[in-house]
Amino acid sequence: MDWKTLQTVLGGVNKHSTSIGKIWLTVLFIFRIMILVVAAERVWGDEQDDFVCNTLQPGCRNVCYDHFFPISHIRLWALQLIFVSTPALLVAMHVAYTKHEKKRKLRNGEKINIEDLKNEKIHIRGPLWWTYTSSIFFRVVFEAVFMYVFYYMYDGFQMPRLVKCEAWPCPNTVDCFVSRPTEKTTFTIFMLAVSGICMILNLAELCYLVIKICMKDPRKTT
Amino acid sequence: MGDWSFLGDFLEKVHKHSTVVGKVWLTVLFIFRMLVLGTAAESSWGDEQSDFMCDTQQPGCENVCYDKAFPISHVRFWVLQIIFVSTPSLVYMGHAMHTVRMEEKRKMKEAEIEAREMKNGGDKYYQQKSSVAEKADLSGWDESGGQILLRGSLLNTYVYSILIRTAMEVAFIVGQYVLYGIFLETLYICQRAPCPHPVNCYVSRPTEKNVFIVFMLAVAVLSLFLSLAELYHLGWKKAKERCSRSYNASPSTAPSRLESAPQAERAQMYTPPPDFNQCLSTPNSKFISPFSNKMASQQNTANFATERVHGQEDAAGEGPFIKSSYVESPEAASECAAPAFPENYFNEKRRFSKASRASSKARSDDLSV
Repeated sequence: MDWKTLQTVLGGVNKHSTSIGKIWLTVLFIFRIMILVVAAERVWGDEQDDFVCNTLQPGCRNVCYDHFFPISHIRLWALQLIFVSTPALLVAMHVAYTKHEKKRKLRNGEKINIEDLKNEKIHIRGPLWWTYTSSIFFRVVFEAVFMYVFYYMYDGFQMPRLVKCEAWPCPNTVDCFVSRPTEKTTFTIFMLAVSGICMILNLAELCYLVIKICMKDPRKTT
Repeated sequence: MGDWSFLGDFLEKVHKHSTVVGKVWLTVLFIFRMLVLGTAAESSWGDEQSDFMCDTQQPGCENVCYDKAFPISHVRFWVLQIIFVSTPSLVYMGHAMHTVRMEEKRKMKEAEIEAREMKNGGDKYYQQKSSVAEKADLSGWDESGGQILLRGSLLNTYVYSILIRTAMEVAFIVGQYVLYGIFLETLYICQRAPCPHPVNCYVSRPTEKNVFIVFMLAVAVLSLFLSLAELYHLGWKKAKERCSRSYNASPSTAPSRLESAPQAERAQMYTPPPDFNQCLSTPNSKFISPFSNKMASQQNTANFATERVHGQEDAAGEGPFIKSSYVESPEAASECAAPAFPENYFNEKRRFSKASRASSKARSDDLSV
């Protein structure tokens, strides 16, 4: 999976984030995307090949694997990371739109320095504040939804060593053995912990933004 | 092969703001750990489960025996080790970037003050500029070099990051020993349901794996030593400067007269003298009395100006502080090496003192600057 594109896009967003946003981005890249690419994909690499069932019945193994792993952890995490990163694109689009508007004003003859425009740090105020805050809100929602989906689909966060399968065409209840359950449990808990940390960071950022705007408003009205 | 570029990019930035030992540590991390892991170790462990053979026909027995033998594969363990050991450096980098940003803001503020005061009239300008400059000194920014100096809160963050890094390193080395011991055995005897009885299981490529295990263990121990060396060096520097500061503060007869003018500045600046020992050993009182205080303090001011610039260049070639350097405290050095001494006397002494090399008085045996 090519995560470089995501890195390029999110790198641009990094410039206009708060400090907490930058920390969140770092945690995302190093503790989630990198772990996924470097370690987790290897662990889940042979999940179907080494899914062994105590039966000679052809097709039983396939069906049982499909029954217990409707969507692999790796794919779910990849989806989670994509969904969680997407709201930042909203912010990037808004910033791009703001800059485009300023360029348009320049073209129409208003005096704006081009150099300043390029290097300008866009402050999180006004409509951008709303875009940014709603992006963080959606991030939190997506994280929570995916964590729940994981919990619901796999009955908790532990990978079982043995699963008992009764799906057709298995003739009777068949014992199936999952490959590397302990290692998978370790990484599932690790990714869960990092998701939790990311959620806490997002909530902290949300609080920070709300407090910042509340602190500004009284000063504005006085 | 896994893609380490995400971490690599971040660590490149840390590289710029580290001491020399820190850079060596990072190089060891990149080359001997990440690269070796990504290229060699991954392929060696590639078939670890497919070629893990158990002497049984019982379906599922191999799976459970492999899982019992290797709760977490060596490769994944090393990946986690590298990530956890690098994380404190990222925290330090965050602080360094924050310092850079604060410095940029300070410069903008200074520029504003300058513009404002130039309009209104000069008096307040110098006061404000000097107070802003003092803040810069304390915050750890070098005007002439344009680099971050390792001192104050930044130095503390750096030291804590190294401490945590050391702790993580030790934890992972101990963890590896607890999980696997040092060497992998060829034969693993497994007794776990659904295996009907104790079953012989054979590990794939044990010798090759042992070579890599020993190699990675050795590199981890080397990194640990580098971290400890860095800590020792930073601690030694801090202790030296603290001793010299207490020496400077203690009252004495002739030397204290020299200190009067720059004393206030020195107290505010957190700077170590270049060579504490020289200060102690030189019997200053004998040589200072023939010279007037005024001349000495004038020379001090001149020395300060030159040495502040040259101190950075000098430090570039020495010790652990290539990019991150201590600013030399020329007054502390010059009180031990008063400017108008006969050349011969100071031939030996000056070699130890970095500051005196950059004294404004040209001497024949001075290094050209």
